[in-house]
Amino acid sequence: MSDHSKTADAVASADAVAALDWLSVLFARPPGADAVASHRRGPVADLMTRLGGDADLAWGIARMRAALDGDEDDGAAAAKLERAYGLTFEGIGGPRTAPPYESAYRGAGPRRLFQAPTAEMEALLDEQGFTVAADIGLPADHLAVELALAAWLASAGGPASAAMTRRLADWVPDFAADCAAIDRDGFWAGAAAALAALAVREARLDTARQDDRT
Amino acid sequence: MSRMTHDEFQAEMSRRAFLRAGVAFGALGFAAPSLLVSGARAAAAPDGEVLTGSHWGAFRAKVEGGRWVSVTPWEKDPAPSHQLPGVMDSVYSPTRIKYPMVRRAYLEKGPGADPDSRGAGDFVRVSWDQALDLVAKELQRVEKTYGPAATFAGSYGWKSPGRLHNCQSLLRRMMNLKGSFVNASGDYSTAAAQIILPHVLGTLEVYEQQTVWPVVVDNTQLMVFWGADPVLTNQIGWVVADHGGYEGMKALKAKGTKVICIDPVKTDTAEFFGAEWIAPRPQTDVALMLGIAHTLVDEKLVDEKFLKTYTTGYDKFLPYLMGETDKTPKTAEWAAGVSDVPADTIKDLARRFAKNRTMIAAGWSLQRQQYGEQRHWMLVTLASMLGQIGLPGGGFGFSYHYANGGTPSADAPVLTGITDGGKAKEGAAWLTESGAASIPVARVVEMILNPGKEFDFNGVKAKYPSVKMAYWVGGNPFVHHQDRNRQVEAWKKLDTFIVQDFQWTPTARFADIVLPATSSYERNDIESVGDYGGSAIIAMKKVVDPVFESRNDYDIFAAIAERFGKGKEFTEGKSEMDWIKSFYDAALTQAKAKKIAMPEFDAFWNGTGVVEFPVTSGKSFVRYAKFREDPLLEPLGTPSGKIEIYSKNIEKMGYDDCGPYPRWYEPAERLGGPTTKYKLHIATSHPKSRLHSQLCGTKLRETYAIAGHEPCWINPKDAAERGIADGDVVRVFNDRGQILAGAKLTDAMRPGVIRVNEGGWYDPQEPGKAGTLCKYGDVNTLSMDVPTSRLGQGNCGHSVVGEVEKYKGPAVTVDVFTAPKAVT
Repeated sequence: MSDHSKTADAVASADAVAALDWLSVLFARPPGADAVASHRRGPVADLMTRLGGDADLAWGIARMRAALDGDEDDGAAAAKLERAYGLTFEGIGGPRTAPPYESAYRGAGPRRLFQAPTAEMEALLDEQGFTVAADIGLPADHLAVELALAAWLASAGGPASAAMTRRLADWVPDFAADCAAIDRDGFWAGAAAALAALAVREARLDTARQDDRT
Repeated sequence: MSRMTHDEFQAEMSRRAFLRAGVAFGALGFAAPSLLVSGARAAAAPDGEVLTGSHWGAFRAKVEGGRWVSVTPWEKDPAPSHQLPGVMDSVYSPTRIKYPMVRRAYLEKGPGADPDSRGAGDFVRVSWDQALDLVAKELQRVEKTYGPAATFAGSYGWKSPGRLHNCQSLLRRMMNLKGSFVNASGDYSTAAAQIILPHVLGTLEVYEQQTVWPVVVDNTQLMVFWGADPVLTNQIGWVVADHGGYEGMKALKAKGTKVICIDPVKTDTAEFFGAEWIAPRPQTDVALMLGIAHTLVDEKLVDEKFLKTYTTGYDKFLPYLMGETDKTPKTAEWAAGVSDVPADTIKDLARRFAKNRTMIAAGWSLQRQQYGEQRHWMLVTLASMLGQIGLPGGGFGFSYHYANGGTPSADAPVLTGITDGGKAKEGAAWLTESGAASIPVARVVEMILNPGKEFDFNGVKAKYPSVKMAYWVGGNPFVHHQDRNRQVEAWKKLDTFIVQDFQWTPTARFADIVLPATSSYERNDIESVGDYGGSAIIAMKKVVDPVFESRNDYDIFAAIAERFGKGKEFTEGKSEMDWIKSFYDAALTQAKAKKIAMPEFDAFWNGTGVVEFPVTSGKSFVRYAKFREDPLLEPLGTPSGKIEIYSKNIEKMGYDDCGPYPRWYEPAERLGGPTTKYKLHIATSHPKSRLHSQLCGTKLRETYAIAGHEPCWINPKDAAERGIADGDVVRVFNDRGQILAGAKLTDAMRPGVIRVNEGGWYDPQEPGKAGTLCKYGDVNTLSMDVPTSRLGQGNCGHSVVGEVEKYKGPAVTVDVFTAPKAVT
């Protein structure tokens, strides 16, 4: 293992799992006022401060913080984020949508949901003894679900975690690029950018670790 | 299955993380949903193929692991539509409406709040119970406060096929149980024709069987498609398309029958037949017909015997034709001046029409123009002068282009469907007489803007109700209605707008309450195959489970009715399958009486899922043959029992925009018109890869969009004069609005005419702002919202002029927030 990868790995291990878990919750549903409060001055704000110190994640985290820095109260800020969430992810924006589903980026046809990645994720969840909560109403390849599983796997480490990270690294950068083109306010674009940077970096490190072993 | 809360999930991860790296992380500081539960997921339906149906035809859906993975056309479809993959795409579209949603201002402040924010996309997700309570409460509030004529539920559009999940009938069924509502009559397709033709022929005509294709192939010597493009438009059917028209057209082509296409666009039909193309100025068809008619008189080619035996009023029309009443003889030369078709060509058409067994197949585009009633009336008059009506392969047809009219009808029972509780009219499924008030459907914006204003409609005077609320299902008026900017302003007057659909259409985006419905492929239903052929009854079996939180229209309306205490009346205690079986059994009863072979329901549903019917006498049907054979015993449904070239009923109405016989009226704007400001006509044709606006949100768009925009077809000469190159982004505009489009240079366009197909999704740059640029290319941003006449009150979606220029404004694709390239 190289010195560089050791340093980077140390940075990731401190908060990478927490970041995956946090982003899973965030992408599942837009934050309410209490969640915005946490992002501004609570536990999530602390986490964001730590993550923002990571050079790869700094740009995305900064965009998120900038979007939260307005004068409006937490409720108004939450409303703004919810509107942007709807326009960016839910299809309200029509063709200019960044679908938070792996199928949209890796499916048989562009922008089509419920493709092979949905089945692949269902199988991965099965392997871990999980299924998507019925009242969530999300397919298994929704970004939030993938991140929840990634967080779970990362907390244990091992090959399954590395595979999940590579999976995210395969499509999240394209998703993040779409978010950047759509989300004018920048919170969701920042979150996607930070996630893409984390996933790509972790995947690269894993590859480097494998190379070191061979 | 055991549920692990998010805190427990996080605590478990925390324990693992601590064991691995000594790092413990705290809670997020707010309540969060638990996405994962321990245990196995519910078993999916078994893998296999499901036969079902759509507007585009029947097909087999392949299902794997509970997911729909591919589409194969039904093996008995003679000409499957290339649009079928788009159907699957629409079901799995990212623009599916996933949960009930309410516009934020509406949710926080109530009905009528901040109407300017409609269309801005600021929605809040709510639970089904909350959404349904809101809907029920608002329906009751509006009725109690303003009366039964304050809610518009004349919802119109190309809903999905299926005899149970007919969302428009279901909406009105619920509304009838609640109290009453404002209904709408007619449709956007044929409003002018379906009002004028009963006066002329005694029938709606536009939705009735044509002289069948085998007879046409055997007997017709000259086939004329006038404003009709059946090769393109017959891809779809109101029920499950059978595509029988393509067999007829292939046979006609194989025989080598001469075909003429009269159209400003060299259509797919013209290309298919290698047809002779005559391209008049748009909207001048009546003048062209009059020029042909005048030539028939001038050259003594008129069938006087036919006129005397089968028509009335020719003697009152003739003086107008010859210029005795207005000092303008409608000569070929006069017609040439109006239509830009050379006089010699017009005369030649008259001679060829008279000399040959001629079938004139007219499209409905002709009557979706100002004074649209005159086109079909004049065409019937012209056909009467030719005297071939009722002869095999001769006369006229108004439905060869629609739903495969002319496909021989099978010996099939009638398949019924769920009713709306009102009294149904014969001829078209959406014509009913229920409702506290009714308006001509295309006048909906006029109604909202002018409550209490008196209007004429087919001899009746009425006043527009004061509508406070509208409920729309199975339609997309923010694409199909004319003059988008006027519509946006009108919608601001509504307290509440509810949309129930499966996709975030432009209409849904302008709603206050949005309810996610299932698509046809997430529920069970039953339907006929072939609007005219009726060759089969097909089980529309559920392909996949409902996605996200979508619910069936039937269940949604039943739940609303339940909140009025009318749930049982709505459902009649029947389940989805109970209804489907009842429709089938009613058909089975008829079949037994007629000795038509049909299996019992269980064998049908659990077997092949389709029952086909034989074609016998339907193979030789000739429209109006019986009338021609014996006009006394088989009279038409007109006052005289004959074809009415002069209508005393219309004369009594005294309309200045629709007189008692067909005539030329100068439209408010047209190419080459005497007072027209703009130099280009904008043809708003049907698209090749959509059904109106359906499937615009699918991958099919990638096959035709230019630079991300709806195409703008333009003749190279017109393009060169404006410095426009193929592939350029262009701005198309007039005094009513502006859109972006992608230039497609083609000789298929007559010079002076550009084409932007109807059905492109409205995409305002600044939602709610008058005159804002439509970034995608919804051509109804440019069309005018005036009625065809006081008689028919139809829409004028093809009466559009404007100008086009190379777009030089700021790029509309947002890319300024592009993130730094990810670390690799």
